Amino acid sequence: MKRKELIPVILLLSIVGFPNSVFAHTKLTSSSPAANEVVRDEVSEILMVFNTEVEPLSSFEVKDQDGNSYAVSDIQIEKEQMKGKLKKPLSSGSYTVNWKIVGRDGHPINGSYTFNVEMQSPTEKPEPVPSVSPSPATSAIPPSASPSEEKSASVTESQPEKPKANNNSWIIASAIVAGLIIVSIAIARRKKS
Amino acid sequence: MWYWLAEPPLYLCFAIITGWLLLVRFVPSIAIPRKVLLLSAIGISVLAFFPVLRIVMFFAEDIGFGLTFRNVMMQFTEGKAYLWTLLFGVLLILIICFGEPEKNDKAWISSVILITALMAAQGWSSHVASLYEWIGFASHTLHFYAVSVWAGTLLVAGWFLPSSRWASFLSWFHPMAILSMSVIFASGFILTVSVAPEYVQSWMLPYGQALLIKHLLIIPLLCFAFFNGWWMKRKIANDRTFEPRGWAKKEGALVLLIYSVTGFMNQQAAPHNVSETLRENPVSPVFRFLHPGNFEPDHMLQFTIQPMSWLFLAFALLSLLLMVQSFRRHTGFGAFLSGILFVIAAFAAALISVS
Repeated sequence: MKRKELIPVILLLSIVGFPNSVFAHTKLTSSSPAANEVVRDEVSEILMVFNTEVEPLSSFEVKDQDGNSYAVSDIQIEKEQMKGKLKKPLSSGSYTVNWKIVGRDGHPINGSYTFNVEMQSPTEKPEPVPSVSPSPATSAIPPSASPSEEKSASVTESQPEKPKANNNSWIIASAIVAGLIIVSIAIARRKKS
Repeated sequence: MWYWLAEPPLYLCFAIITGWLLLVRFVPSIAIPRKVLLLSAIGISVLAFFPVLRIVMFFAEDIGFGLTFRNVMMQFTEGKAYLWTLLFGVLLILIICFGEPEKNDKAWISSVILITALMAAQGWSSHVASLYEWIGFASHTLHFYAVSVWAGTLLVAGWFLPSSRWASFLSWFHPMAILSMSVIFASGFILTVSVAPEYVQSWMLPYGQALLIKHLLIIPLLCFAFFNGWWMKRKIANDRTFEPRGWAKKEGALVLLIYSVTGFMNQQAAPHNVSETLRENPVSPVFRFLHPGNFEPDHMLQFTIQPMSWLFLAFALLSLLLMVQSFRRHTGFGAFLSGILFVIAAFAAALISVS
């Protein structure tokens, strides 16, 4: 039969036709300021590049470590890029960017990253920066509030022992045994009738 | 979120329309209630809206519902795809109402073109199309098409084809099913390697688990398909009183289960890169249930066979044996249930064996 010959052909085509490049799940590929970057200069614009085309309406917000929002205006979206201007340049402090996008595939995704601003001259701006004092050295470490983007492998403690199957799997096992008994009874009863 | 609940019935609507269009040509005497067809056509137009609604609700809190709605419809791929879906869907409803595709050739061909276009619209807005452009689009659409042709025919026949006509039905359905299956497997393979290249790794995520369950469900489904194909042909020939529809319905029920798993899966974060996905999404609760303890996003899963793995593997094999036994003893319920038990046991065995 012709049809049987088709099967290997289709299989082969599927392997040859498959693009070898492997893309990542919709995510931030780069940004300016970059994640965890310590910026020595005024920050008045934020630019993010994603690995997929970003749909309109996608947006982001900027917050400092105390949760105060900083107004973002004029968000522009162009293919993979999203950028927006800050109404007032950011002064020293730690900032979190919360982004909210819909990729070309229609899947809504949230994410966030943190960066720090450390101005050279501390008398720069009378911003609503809280009086926590722009701690000089320690602020280089981002606050643990948003662990989503940081390389946490070295920081957080890792599981010392391998987690193994625990008693929970017995619950599933019992359910399966119960089911198997029901099926066996059903078959056995069928035989008699 | 609950939005995925609209997906399984959407696939079902596609399947019913496709199966009906095929059956009407090959078995002209088949009578399918117009209500069912209309509901399916309306179902496509309505249910396809839910992914759009999901996006609208995502942004609505920022700039309000009305403005978001207009923007999503006009500018988003998902919105644009839905507008086409709505247009084709309404045309399909009109043809079903007034065109009589059963008798009128032109109406039939138009319906076939419309359902094809509707499936293409689904493929256009799919996840894989956004990543792999035309090859993603083509494999998604082909996959969906082949599933609808095969499962749709099976479901519609299971419910509406009189038993007396099954022998002649199987003579053409059987080869068509084999062809469709080949297409489903080939395109499904492309979809799997594209979306989940780290197959085992992705078991930490709901998407990967759903994909594993889906693949496991295919095994009992193939058992059913095998029995309903070869075994039933002989049965019908030898035994006039044999009722094939119950078996087809149970096979259809398995298809519906696969639809549900697929619908759920399609709205999860896709695991192109598991450790990156894990940074933004938690490890799945099911995985936590079997593996208490914290998992780092960078944690690499490794196979470590444990005593429990063997136990569950034994359960899985036992389930398959009981399934075959159920077929031989004509216990449809037993065959279905042991198929499900197989999936649960094999799923547990797989998840326990990695850590």
